[in-house]
Order: sequence, then structure tokens, then C-alpha cells
Amino acid sequence: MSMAENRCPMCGKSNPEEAQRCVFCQAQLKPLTGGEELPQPSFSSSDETEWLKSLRHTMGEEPSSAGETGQEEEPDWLARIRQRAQTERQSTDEDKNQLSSWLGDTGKETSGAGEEDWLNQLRAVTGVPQESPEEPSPPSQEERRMTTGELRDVRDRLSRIAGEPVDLSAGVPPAPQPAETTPPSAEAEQPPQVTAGETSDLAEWLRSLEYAGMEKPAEKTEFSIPLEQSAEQPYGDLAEFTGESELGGPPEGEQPDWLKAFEEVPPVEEAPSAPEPLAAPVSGEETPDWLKAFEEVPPVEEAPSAPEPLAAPVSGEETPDWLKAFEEVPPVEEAPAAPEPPAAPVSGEETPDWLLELAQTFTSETPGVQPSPVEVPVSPFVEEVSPQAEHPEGVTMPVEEFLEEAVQPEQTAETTPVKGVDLTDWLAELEEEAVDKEAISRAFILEEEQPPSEELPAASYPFAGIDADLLGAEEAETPKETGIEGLEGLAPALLPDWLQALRPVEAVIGETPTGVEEETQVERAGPLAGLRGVLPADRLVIQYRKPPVYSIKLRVTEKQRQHIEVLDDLIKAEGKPAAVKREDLQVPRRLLRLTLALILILVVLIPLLVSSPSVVPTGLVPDENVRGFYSQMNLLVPDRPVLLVVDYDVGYLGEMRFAATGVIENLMLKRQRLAIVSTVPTGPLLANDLLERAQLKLTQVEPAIRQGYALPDRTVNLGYLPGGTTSLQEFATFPRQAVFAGLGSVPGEPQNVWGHVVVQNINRLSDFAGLLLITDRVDTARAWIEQVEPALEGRPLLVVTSAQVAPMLTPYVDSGQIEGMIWGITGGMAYERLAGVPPHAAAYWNAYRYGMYVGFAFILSGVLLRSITDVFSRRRTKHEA
Amino acid sequence: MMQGDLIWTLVGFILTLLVFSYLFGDNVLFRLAVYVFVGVTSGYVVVLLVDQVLVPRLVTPLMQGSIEQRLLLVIPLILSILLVTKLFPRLAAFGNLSLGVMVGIGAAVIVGGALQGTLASQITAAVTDFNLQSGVLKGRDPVLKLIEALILLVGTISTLVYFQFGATAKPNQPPRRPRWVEMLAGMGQIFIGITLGSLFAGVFAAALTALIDRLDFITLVIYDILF
Repeated sequence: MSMAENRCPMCGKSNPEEAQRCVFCQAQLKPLTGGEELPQPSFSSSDETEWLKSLRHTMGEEPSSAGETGQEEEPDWLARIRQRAQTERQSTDEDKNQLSSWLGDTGKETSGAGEEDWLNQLRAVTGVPQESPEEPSPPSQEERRMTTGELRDVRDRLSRIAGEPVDLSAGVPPAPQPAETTPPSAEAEQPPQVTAGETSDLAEWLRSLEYAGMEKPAEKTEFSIPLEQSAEQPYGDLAEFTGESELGGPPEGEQPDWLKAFEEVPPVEEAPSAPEPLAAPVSGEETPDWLKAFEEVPPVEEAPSAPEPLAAPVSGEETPDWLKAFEEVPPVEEAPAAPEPPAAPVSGEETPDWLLELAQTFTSETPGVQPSPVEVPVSPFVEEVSPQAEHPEGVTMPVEEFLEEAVQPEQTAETTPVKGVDLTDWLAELEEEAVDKEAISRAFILEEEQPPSEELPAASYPFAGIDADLLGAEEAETPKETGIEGLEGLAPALLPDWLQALRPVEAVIGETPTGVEEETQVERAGPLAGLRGVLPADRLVIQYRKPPVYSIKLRVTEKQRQHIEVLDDLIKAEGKPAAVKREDLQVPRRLLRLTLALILILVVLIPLLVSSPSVVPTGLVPDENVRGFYSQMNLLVPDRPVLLVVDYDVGYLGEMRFAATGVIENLMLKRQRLAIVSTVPTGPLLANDLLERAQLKLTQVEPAIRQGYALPDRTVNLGYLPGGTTSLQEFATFPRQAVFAGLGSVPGEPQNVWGHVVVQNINRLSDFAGLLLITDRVDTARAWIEQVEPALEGRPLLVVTSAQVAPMLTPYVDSGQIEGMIWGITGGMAYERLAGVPPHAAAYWNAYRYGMYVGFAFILSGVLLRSITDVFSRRRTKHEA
Repeated sequence: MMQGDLIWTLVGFILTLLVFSYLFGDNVLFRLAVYVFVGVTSGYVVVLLVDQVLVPRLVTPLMQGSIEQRLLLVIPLILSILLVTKLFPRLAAFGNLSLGVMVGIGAAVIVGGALQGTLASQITAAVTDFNLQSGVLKGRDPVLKLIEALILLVGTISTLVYFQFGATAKPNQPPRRPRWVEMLAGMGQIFIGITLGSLFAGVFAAALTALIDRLDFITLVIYDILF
């Protein structure tokens, strides 16, 4: 690209060299170009920065005479600053040594001729036109206005703006004062967040980078500009920058201002409202109009779109153009469409290859960067301006318009480091730290920027019912805290309409929600001090009324109380052991018990011993039940077996034997075959005992009965019916499946029980002649009645039971479900007498009868004794009363 | 009396005397007799179940039965094994399935039988008692049959009313049942008393009969020993 080309920064097309506007897009060409007319570094030695001096000194170049003149005119304050800078530089010698070791100690070997080379090469890479001090191009008429003195004056003003609270809303800028009379503030001298050592580190590594580029052109240096570092110190850096500007340049050893621009990238998320250090070359006596307008720009309160405080060097003279190209690299990822500043073409004859590669890499990875024609920005301020701006006046364009254009890329751009460039380890760590810090700060800022959505349901707000107006009033009374110490003293600013329109959030919402106000607050005290968005509990507490107090006392009526007491007594009584009330008896309890037992035993035993076994009992008259039972027994079909169910326990063996022996004897006399089954495990054994006793008793009267009624041939014991009453259903339906083992059957042939001659023709219950149930339990009798009786299909169900069960089974007799029932010793003996079988001895009947009498006497005597005792106790109580 | 019978008769005689020792209160002799009875009964039941249930119903079919019989026995076998887990507290939960099957089937059988064999039949019988013709057919005096039916009806109603404890409360008075309810409840109380008296008489009669049997056994043994 030749110098004759006048390429449009907007459309990139070539224009005639003499054209002031682009013939294609009518964009302004001259104000943004004119690198040849820029004031070359011909400023006096007083304006020459120390870093340049030191650079020349390192390169072996003798300072110019003008510079020497400037040294002679060095004021005292500059000496103090230099001394201070020297002290700071010594404190960071260790870091610098490390950086130097990494980058190589190349600067010492750099010659003065080399300076020209490396500067030219670097300019060529960055597209900055080569500038030659020997051939200064005359500045234009407008640029001449921005002399070095004017620049210094602007720096002074900006430093005061950054260091002092200024009511910018009033539109009255602080009066510019000379640096000698107004020493820099403490904040300006000592930035609160950035130490001098840190800034010196940056200067050193950048300087080393320069040296490395000169000495080792073939070595490709990869680095990234740690822009995030300055995000935490916008005002501190600004103040420092301007403070140095007052002195006419940084002290020796400190980084130059143009280098600081790389680190002094202000935070994006929380843009300060302070005016930008838009330095301009203005003379100390006169402030150009455009700068005056700039000074009068009110601060942007909470302006998220504040322009980047890329603390540009004072003028183009102080900042080498090749480094400006680095500054002018816009945020690549966030603002791909951001216009790029015009890059100067490079004369390729002096540019080393490594710089060319670096430039290509740099430009190729930044899509917004386009090679620019040979254009040298007038000033860093001009570089900040979008090239799309059309201001024929160039630098003197209105500040409002400038801010509009400058804010625009700021809204979309972020201070992200240049991507795509490989970082060395230490730079990567540095960048990570910066990113972490930024992320931490963004964690709060994001909350601040996310007001509670109005679409959320009311339930999601815990304090939805709070009076919003009242909260808003309180919030208004609370001074807003931006978290920046430098702005605490600033009065709330009023934004002009045009600037408010630039705030997208407020433009849409219109009114800041209360929640945002709360979230912007910073807790001052307590364990949450320093945190944002803490709910102001101290104010909310007074918003609430005291909650209504509900009584926990339960209202209970008298009736309910009585019920509670009764229930409580019942529950308590359940847990207490029942106290045995001691009976007030005249005789010992054990003696009484023995006496009654002996009386009963004697009453029972005496008839057994005295009565003759052959005496037939008298006085036994069979009742209706016995007669009905006897009649049913006579109706039994003789050629069919009778199912004999023995379901009583051993304890009732005596009673059951007295009651059932006569019935069994009657069946034996009738040659009735018997099939025995039981739901009680001991039932089969008791059945065998019952049969043997009956046969023995019968044999005593009629000896031939033993031969005529052989138990193995006439009876079969089907055995135990497992499952209790549950198995009765199966037995009633499938008798052969329910029982098949049989008691005393042949091992290994359990099925033979149904092959017995007694039951070989039995396939169902109705095949039996009838069912004789001998039981002592109500449940067993009821189960047989309920489950089996329907399966008998009209066959009689006869029951022999105990005296204690008979009252419970009588209803079944009345209903006809039981065809006949006898019970106890009385029923058995009555049946014996009615059936004509050998009766039991009269002794048993007598014993039973006498025993019943004695028992009745005991009960009656007990009732009488108790009644008499109660009567006497009542009388005694009345007597004592 | 044979030698074996004599031994078992003496054993029975001694055990009977041990049980009668309870007249002097709870003592070691009585406990010994009870423990012997419980132990012998348990042993007998185990042998009986193994001999008449497990072997013929489970083991023999599994060993000698057909495939169909074996397959049909898988379910009861699994349920039986699960029921055994009830012996171990940690595995007791697995036996719930078997218990559930047993309880469910048992409840169904009992409820079904009670509805058909007791409830329906007893209601029918209570109504039939007022059928004078049926009494005549049975040879009973219809007047007495009617009186018996009325007594049965009153006794049933009054007994049911006695177990009705609902009462209305009046201000400043304890809750009381209506007067007619109190009267019926009183009548029901009488019927309940008579029923419990007759049951007690039956229990006493059964116990007395058992006493007579045991005393007869003792006297016979003594008589046989002495004479």
C-alpha cells in the first residue's frame, strides 16, 4: 500500500489523494488522516517524557539539545516526582529482573540505529506510517492548536476531575489551575487499588517487549494485553495518569502514558461517571471550544455506556503510532462491527518478518480490523472516535456527538483481551487473575443489572405486600453507593436527555424498580458488610405490624372437660397394673380354698366309694333333646358308615366319655361302621380311646360284641385333618383329597386309608349315613355346622358336646341345622337309659348330683355372705358417720 | 392290668396328683405336670404333622409323584419356606406372604360360612318360631310355642338394646338414654344374666364331671394297687 493512496476508513476504498471526503461514501477523510500534518515529536524538551529519555539513553542516543534545554528548566516538583518514581522502581526491581530474564536482556545491546529500525518495523506492522523526527511534517492549522501546552492543560483539568468531586451536573467545570499551585490529591498520587509496583511491572514488560522485538526479530513474541487489570482501578489510574501529565511526562523509569493506556481499560460493567481522560493538546492559556464543551459534559451517572477510558497519551507525539494500533484494537468478540481506526500503511522495506507475521496474526484474528490507509490519528481522542463519524471539523467536533460515537462501541464492547494470541504462562496467569477479579466484581454487578422481573408471580416475592411507595421513598433517601470510593462525594448528576436516551435499560423500563435500588445498596455494617443486595431488614421491620397473638389455650366446655377426664383416666388406668383389692375376710384365703375343695372332693368321692357299680341310676328322665337325638340315631342307614368327628381336648376327656360312650355303644350294637376324623391333633388318639373303652364296656355286658364288632374291620381312622376349620371346606367338597394319610396306615401307602372297607365307597360326605360330632368347643361345632352341614345333603348332623357348650348350640338345634344334641353326663346317661345300652354306674350320677348340690350351696352361701357383709359394712359406715 | 398299662396308669396317677397340688397354690409340682403336658403334646403334634401332613402331602409327591404333582407342589413349598423365615427376625418380613394367604383364605371361609350357616339360618329360625302351624306339626302346644317365640323375640331385642349406649345430653344433667331404652336395656340385662348363669352352670357341670372322672381314676388305681 503506498502513501499516495487515500483510503476511506469507512468503505475502505481508495480515493484521490487530494480528496477531503470519500467519493463513495462521503465519509470524512482529512480530519481523521493527515498524518503528515501531525505535529511531529518536535515538542520541547520540557514535554519530552522521561521514558523516552531513558529509552534514548539505553539505546545510546544522545538527547537532543532541546532536551537538554528542557532538563535545565526542570522544576522542583518534577524532580520530586522523579525521585518518587525512582523509589518505586527500586521496589520492583525483583519483578523487573524476572521479566528481563524472560524476555532477554536485549535492551542493553540496542544501538541508536537500532532504535530507528525497531520503531520503523513496529510501525510498519501496526500500519502506522513511519515517522521520522528528522522530517517533521508541518501540522495543520487545526492541529496546531493542540500544542503541547494545551495538552498539559487538559491533563491538569482531567486529573482534577478524577481526583476531586466535581459537580458536573451543574455544568461548571473546575477552574484549571496550574499544577504548581494545586498539588495532586492523595488519591491521584497514590491510587487506591493499584500500587506503583504493579504499574511499573507493566511498563517493564512492555519495554522489554520492545527490546525483544529489536534484538530478536526472528523470535515471535506472543503476548496479550492485560486490559482487565485496570478494570479495578479506573479512577486511580486516571488520576495517576493525569498526575504524570501535569509533570510533563512520567518520571524516569516509569511507564509512559501511552503504555498505560493498555492497562488502563476502565471497567465496562460498572462504568464510572467521571469524565474520561480525553486528553487533548491544548495550551494552558486557551482552551479550545471543543474541549470546553467536553469539560462541560455532565457526568454520566451509572452510565453503562460510558466511553472507554483508554487513557490515551496526550497526543500523537507521545504515543508511537505503532503502539496506538494496539490501543485501537477494538473488542473483537463483543463488537465485531466496531469500526477500526485507520491503520497506517507500512513501508515494507524495513519491516522484519516476525513483525509482519505478528501484524497478520493480529489483524486476521480481529475481524473488525482492516488495514487502513496511511492515516495518522491526530490524537488518542480522535482514535477513540468511530471512523464512521462525519465531522468536517475533525477534532473540534461537538462533544455531544463525540460522546455519542464514543459510547456506542462502549455499549457493545467489553474489555476482553485480544484472543487468539498465545500467551506465555505468566501472562496467562496474569490474565486469569484479572478475569477472576472481573468475574467476582461481575457477580455483584450482574445482580445489580437484573432487576426482579415483573412477570414473576407475586408468591416469589417474599415481601410482596410491602408498601412499595414507602420503600421507594426510603430508597430515595438512602444515598446510592456505587462501590467506588472516588465518587462518594459526588452529587447526583442530571443526565441530559440525549444521554438518557443512550441508556437502554432505563429507556425501556423507564423507571428503576425498587428492587434494583435495594440491590445496589452496599451493606455497611455487620457480617454482611460489603455485600450488595442485602435486604434492608432494619427498615422492613418497621413496616410490619405486630402479628396477632393467638391464644394457645383451648376453649373447652364443661362437658368436654368431663369427657377428657374420663378418657384420661381410662388411658392412665390401662398403663397401671390392676391392684388386687384385699378382701376383708375373717379366715385366710388359702384355708377357705382348701376347705371348699375338700368339701367338694368329699361330696364327689363318697358316692363313688359307697355306691355299687351295678346300681342303675334313678331319676334320669330323658328330655326332648335326648329323644330327638335317639330318634335320629335310629334313622341312620345301617349299611353306610357314620362319620365320627372327635374334636375335643384331653382335658374334657372325662365329660365327653360320659356323654359319648352310650352313643358309641349304641352304634356298635347296631353294627354301624365308623370313619373317624378330627381337626384336633389329639383327636384321632382320643377317638381310638373312646372306641376301645366303649367296646370294653360293651363287652363286659355282652362278651360276644367283641367278636361281632371288631374295631379294625368296622372302624377306620382317617386321621388328622390339617388346616383346622379352614380345611373343612375342602373336606366337605373333596373328602378324599382332604384326608388320605390316616392314623396307623401303612407307611408308604397313605392312599390306602380310602381303600379301607369302611370308606371304600365313600366319595363325598353325603355318602355317609350321618355325621356324629363330639366336641367341647363352640367354634368347632359352629364350623362344622356352617361348612360341612350343607354338604351332608339331608343326612343328620348329631352333636355330643359338653355341658358348657350346649347353651350356645341350642339355637342351631332349634333351627334344625343340628338334628339332635346331647350334652354332659346327664345327656349321656339319659341316652344310655333310653337306648338300652349298659349304663354307667349310679355312683357317677350320684356324685354328679351331689356335687352339683354342693356347688349350688357354695354359690348361694357366697352370695349370702357377701350380702350380709355389705349390710354390716353399711351399718358400720353409718354408725361411724 | 398289663405291665405297660400299669406303668402308664401310674404315670397318669402321679400327674393327676401333681395337678391336684394346685389346691395349695402355684407350686413346683403343678408346674412340673403342666410342663410335661405341654412338652408331650408338642412332641406328639410335631410327629403327627410330619407323619400325616409333610411326608404324605409334600415329601412323597415330590419324590415319587408325577411332574404335574411336583409342579403343583411348588407353590405350597415356596409358601412353606417363606413361613419358616418367620423364625428369623431379619427375614420375618418374607413370611408375611404366607401369613397373608393363610389369614385371607381363613377369613374368607369363616365369613362366608357364618353368613350362610349362622346369620341367615338363625334369622329364618327366629321368624319360623312364630309359625304356629309348624309347632303343631311338631306336636307342640301352639300357645306355648308362641310364648316361647315371644320370649325369644323380647330377649333378642332387649339384649340388643342393652348394648346401645347412645344417649342425649341435657343441660346440667348427665347424658342418659331414653326411658323406653332404659327399660328394654334392663330386660336385656336380665336375659344376659340368665345366659351367663346357664353358661357358668355348664362350665361348673363340665368341671365337676372332669373331677368325678379323675377321682374315679384315682380310686380305681388305688383300688387296683391295694387289691
